[in-house]
Amino acid sequence: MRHFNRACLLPLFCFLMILSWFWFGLLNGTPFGVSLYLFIGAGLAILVSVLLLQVSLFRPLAGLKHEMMNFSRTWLTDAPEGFKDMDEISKGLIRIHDKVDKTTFRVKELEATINVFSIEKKQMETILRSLPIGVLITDRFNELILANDVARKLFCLKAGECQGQSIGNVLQWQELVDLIHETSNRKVKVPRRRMELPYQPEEGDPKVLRMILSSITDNTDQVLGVVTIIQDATKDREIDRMKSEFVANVSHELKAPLASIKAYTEMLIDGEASDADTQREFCSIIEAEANRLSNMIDNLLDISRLEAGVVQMNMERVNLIKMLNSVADTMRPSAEKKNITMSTDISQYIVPVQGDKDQLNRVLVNLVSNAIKYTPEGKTIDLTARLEGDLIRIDVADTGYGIPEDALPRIFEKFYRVKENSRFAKGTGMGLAMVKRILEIHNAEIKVKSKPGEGSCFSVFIPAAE
Amino acid sequence: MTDGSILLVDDDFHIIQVLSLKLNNAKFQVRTASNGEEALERIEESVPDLLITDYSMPVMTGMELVKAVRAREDTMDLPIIMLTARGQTVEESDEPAPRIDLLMSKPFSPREILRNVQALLEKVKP
Repeated sequence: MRHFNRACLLPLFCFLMILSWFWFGLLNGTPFGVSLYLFIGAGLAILVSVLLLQVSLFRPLAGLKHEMMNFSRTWLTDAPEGFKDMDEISKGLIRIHDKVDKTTFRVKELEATINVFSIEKKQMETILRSLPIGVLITDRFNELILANDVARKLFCLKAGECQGQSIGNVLQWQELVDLIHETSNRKVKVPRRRMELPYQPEEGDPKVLRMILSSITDNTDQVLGVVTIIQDATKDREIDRMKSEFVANVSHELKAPLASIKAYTEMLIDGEASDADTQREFCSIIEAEANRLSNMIDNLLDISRLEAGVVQMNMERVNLIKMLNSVADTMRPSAEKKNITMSTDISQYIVPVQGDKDQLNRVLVNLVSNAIKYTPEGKTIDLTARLEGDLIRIDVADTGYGIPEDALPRIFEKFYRVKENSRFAKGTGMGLAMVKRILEIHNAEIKVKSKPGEGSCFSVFIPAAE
Repeated sequence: MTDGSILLVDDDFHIIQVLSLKLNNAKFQVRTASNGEEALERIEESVPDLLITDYSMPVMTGMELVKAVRAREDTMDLPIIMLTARGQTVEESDEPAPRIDLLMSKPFSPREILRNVQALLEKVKP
């Protein structure tokens, strides 16, 4: 033991007490031999107790000190050189305890922060995965970090299999792979790159994909990865195409009566129509063509108003039997011009419906007019109506050119015209779109069955009035 | 005695009526057809001096008719006027477009048509 220990005071005090008692015993006449034996016995007892004290107290303390020294050397930079006494030990222990407390607190803090980050990461991933647009995230080594559901579906990627793989191995579309490489290889951050590219998936129709590539950078503008946003622009392009087609069709249709009006007027001015009958005929044509032009413009406006939902419907009880017979009578001359036989079979049990008379009439005229337009000369058209439960079913069946199967889902789209049939008759592709919209307003439904070369049957289901 | 024979092709009865009268009054011999197929039949009967055709027609379009006409040896240099409602250019999908001497946009002036017919025939006069 290098340092004198306070714990040794107790045996020293005992020794002095016994020594005093020995001298006191001698002074009081106790025989010397007895006092000496007692003195030696007491001394031995004290020695044994000191040894026991050392073994039981100092050894563990020395061990503890050794452990603390090791701990402080290993974990604490400002560890004390040693411990001089119990106070130092306890002070050291308190300091260590404080440090352990602080460290535990920091660890807990870090764990909480990691938890927050992990929750935020999960939230972010959930948001990215549920986005209706495709998202691909790659790191600086062009390895895939994340592909959301839309992107996976678009590029036929299997969940989990692609993560961590090189984008070049995962994506079959080389153009996009090159774009991602190019964006991540740029030394300096570039603004977002936007582009549209045609894409042919392994299965299905070709698509047009709109993409935005942005590089992820750190504080020093070093590229850490690339985020690629992919949007399917096929429908947008299709709508653009349909709009252009519509404008072309409409302008063609509008220019036809206008051309006649202009030409006949000029002929009259130039005196090309010599006799009064011809002049009168020209004037009648100009009037008729002006009316046709006006009707076409009205139709155009009507469909746009129907689409916008601003057409005022005059709902009343409508007698469909009367209306169907009237439509058949009105349209029969047009059918006869093409030598088409139009037959009607209208049940007398049809109950009235609640609807706008003019609009329902327009639906029927449109369907019958289409049947005449797309049925070759000498064929037949059947107009039938019957009660089916709470519904009135009206069928307009022709034996005409029919509609190809792939065109059937699209015939009610605005401005859509069946390419194969457009050569048989002129039109703007608005009629069936208007029919469908009017029927929707009446809670009615329209279905079509058709076979190319055999004919088409349009079936309308209107709820009976209560 | 006529100033030339003209084949007029359009599915619009009014255009046929007006232009026939205008050209007839100007001493041209006019034959008519309502689509490309009919026009080729008329050409088969006799080759006209000039062809006026609409661009958009059922059965056989104006462009298909022009292609067929240019493919024939006896009509490969026939002067052709095309009437179109789609402006002065034809759609890109019609490329490679066969040679058309003059594109005229609807609504047109019969006076102007007559002037162009006369100018084109003057050019090809031997």
